[in-house]
Amino acid sequence: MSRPERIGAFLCTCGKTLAGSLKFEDLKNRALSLPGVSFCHVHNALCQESGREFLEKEIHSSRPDAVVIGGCSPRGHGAIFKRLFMEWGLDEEALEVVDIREGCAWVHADTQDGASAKAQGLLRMGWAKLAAREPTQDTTVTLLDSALVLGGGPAGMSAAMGLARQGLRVYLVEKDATIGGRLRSLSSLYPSGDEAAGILNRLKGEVETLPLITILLRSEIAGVKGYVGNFQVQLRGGEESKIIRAGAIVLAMGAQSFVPRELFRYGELKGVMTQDELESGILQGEDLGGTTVFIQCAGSRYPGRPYCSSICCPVALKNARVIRMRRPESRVFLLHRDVMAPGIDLERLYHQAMEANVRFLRYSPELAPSLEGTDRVQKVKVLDILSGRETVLEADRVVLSTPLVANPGNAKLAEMLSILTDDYGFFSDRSVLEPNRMVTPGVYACGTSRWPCSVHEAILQGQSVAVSVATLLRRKTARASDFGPMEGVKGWPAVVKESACSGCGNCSQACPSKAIGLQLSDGRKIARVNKVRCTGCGTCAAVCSGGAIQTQTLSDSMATKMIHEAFG
Amino acid sequence: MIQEVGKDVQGSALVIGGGVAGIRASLDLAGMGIPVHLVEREPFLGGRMLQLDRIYPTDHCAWCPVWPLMRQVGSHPLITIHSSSEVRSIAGEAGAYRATILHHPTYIQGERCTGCGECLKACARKDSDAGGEARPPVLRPVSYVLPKAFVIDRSLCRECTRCQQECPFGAIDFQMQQETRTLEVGAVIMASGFDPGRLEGLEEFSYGAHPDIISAMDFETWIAETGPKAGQVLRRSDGRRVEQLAFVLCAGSRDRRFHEYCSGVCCMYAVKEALWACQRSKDLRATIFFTDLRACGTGFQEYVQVAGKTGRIQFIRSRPGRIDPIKEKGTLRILYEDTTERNTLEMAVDMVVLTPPIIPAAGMDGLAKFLDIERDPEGFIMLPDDKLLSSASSKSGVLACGCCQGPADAVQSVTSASAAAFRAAEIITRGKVL
Repeated sequence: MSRPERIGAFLCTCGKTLAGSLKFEDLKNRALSLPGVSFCHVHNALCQESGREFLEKEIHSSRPDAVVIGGCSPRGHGAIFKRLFMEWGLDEEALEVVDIREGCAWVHADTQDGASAKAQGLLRMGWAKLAAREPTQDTTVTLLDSALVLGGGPAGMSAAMGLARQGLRVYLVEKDATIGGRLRSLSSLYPSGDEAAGILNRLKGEVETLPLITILLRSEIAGVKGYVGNFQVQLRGGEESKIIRAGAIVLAMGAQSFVPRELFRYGELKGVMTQDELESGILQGEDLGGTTVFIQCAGSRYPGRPYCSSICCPVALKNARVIRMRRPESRVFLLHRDVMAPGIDLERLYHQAMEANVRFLRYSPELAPSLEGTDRVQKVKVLDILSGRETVLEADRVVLSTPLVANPGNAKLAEMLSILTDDYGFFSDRSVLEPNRMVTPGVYACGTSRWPCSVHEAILQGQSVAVSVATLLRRKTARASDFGPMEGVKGWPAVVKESACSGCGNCSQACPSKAIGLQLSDGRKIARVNKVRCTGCGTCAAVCSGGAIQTQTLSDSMATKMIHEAFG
Repeated sequence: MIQEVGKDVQGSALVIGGGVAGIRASLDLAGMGIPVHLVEREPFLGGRMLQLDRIYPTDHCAWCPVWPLMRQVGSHPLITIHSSSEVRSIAGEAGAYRATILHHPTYIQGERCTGCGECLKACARKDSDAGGEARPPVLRPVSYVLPKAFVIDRSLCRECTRCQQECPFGAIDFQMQQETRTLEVGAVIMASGFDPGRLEGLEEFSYGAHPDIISAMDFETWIAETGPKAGQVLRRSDGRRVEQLAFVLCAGSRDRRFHEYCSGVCCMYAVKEALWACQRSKDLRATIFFTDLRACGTGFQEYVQVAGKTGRIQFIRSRPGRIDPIKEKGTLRILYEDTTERNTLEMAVDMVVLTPPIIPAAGMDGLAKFLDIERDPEGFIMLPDDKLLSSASSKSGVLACGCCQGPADAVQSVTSASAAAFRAAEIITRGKVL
């Protein structure tokens, strides 16, 4: 089948409400004069039951191979018409809905001639697009019923558990010798105050016993091939390097704690420790009597690392309170900038810390606290900006609340998977309402690999990813065009006219989805499109000097013809 | 009329609330093969997010991320939308709930309405001014919003029936009755969202005493490019351009007299509204009175810095003690203590924006009565942590997501929605593989 030969046209008067603004008889005659248009019908309500019956009858009797509908905006009934046309055996892309209502008759209600001329132009453009189109090319892919989860911390365990409970085979890849991640080194969790060990044991217990989960320890990703539904992941480490086949990849490698070298004399004075080190002290039942001074934003919210790591305030509030409760005679000071305790639970935690007699002093980053001591920390000097007084605190220990920083390996993984990271190396989402999906279909991220978050939040995100992956893979098969630039938007793969391709590789370099490679064909290089990876964005077509690579929904010849009709 | 819906479908779910959390939860349940009844009190889906102009920290349009989800909800064969509907009762237990839904008549038949707008043109009260903002009885759905059909609000309608005569499709039916629908569902997801709390109790801020002392939700609409003044930042009292604008944060939050908790999102949207006001009005200067500037999400600190770098937005750590209209000048006076400078000052401004507390949506009390759910003293639904990990053996089949659990931004809301869908699916399938 080649280009359409019998194009049908339907014009809708929207219950005659458009009849005042548009000259339908002229529009119909003009449409019938266009090459290839075999019929044109004017109806007063195509979207009503009577209209749909009319459409169906006409389409079955006239058997057009492409149809242009002039009526309300495609946002109105476009999706319904497309669905009906597919049911009636037509190619969904062979239907062009042209807006002659909202964007034409309504906005030009003051001029019948002008509105009619515009409607005619719009209809000609719709016709031109159809007349120049080639049959769509698509392909069906099988989706594997397995997922690879990278990272065995709370987010990864939660995701693995969720996926396995929904019947998917899960490969849980952990770089350490055991799973659990950050949960292994935490004493208690905020805001609940629950022991971390309890949650760890429940998650770990389930992950280790679910038969569908295979845990691969001491392993990391070395390389990735394939595409959504069919990834081949090369692992290194472990007993042997192996290739895992998975339908989806979940990134849950967590983040690292910033080591505050040269900050607040860390590493130089004894008694100066990070929040992580305090956690393990609490966990091991160390004596935490005397005076403890917490310093917030140690290594964050300054020009070099401007972000707020968001978990440090709640963690410090939790631990400050733990010390006060454990050792009633102890003194605890918390030196802070803004106390980041948004919402109900965290503000309550803040109140609980105040009620436990944790003393709060607000410092300004320009006049940061300074530490005194020769071998051990002895004093902390701080200007409390609310009282305006410089305060000297005798200190037995100083706890630095350092931010989480992204794993250095994130950049390489992002490159490997064609996904995005933010300025700091955390994985970036595709849309605010799909926060766990990465730009590459089939790749998801959860937990602190995305942004610092609590264990509670990491578990929620793991479950959320499990839902997305299950929704994707339970279909078992998909069309390449199902993976468009966003959920629910078609991504027709780009097509290459081999005779016109010079093999320059511009398209391959420009493609944001790494969907194009160069392959030898008859001794010369030709661009090859991976139909599944391609989202139909058209970047390749824009950089191709010879017009050899084209998007299916708007090729150069379609666009040229449309422009010609609009202005010619 | 009593209609039985979904009786033949075993193991469907009920989602209460059609905002972004409810929409996300519905799509996820349907994605896992579970039929969903999505109940929304308002005539149209979209919730609070569609009342926003922009979203922080990207300054992207608030509506655009919603459309792809809305389109999928509208076309998904497993999702039934019950708009203009309220839950009247729910009884039962996990795996077997019976919910009664009251569907209010919209007086326009959805399948016949083409959105042509003839009814609105014909309406005798199309230019009516009901309660300050013009709002005719015929409600037009915004492009893309579901359901697509117009709705008539009979409380504002004079029943002249002109619309009925003018409708080319015979879609208007004043005889339409309310319907009681009974739904059999396995699990219930609460996504009933939030309401902005009342500001009237804060006597020191004179809310209600002057039209230029305004709540942040109203301000967002007031200055929106799609709003009544097409993006201009004008005073409500006299239409004069706002030159000095003040935001007072924590109005009713973090306040023992009202709500002790932090409403979580006000700092960021105040920065956003200040930035947008500055962009839309080049002479405008804004002051943000804050307690702690809680900017902890991706890109939030940077966003605050962008605001500071404009040189036109200043941040003062203070909770003003009084806001008074100055009659002779027509402006407003703010008395405050700058806590970092430790002195008492006053400032004259043209407009004051108060950020109201986020409280559970009206109707939550009623819903909580039917469902045996634990709530905190403020009325938000509490989800114990152990429930987070519980499997299909969980007794209660009621889950919550979004702002009915406490203040949350859009990202947090949809994350909790997907997680709630996951747990609901487990309850419905009783641990069986989907």
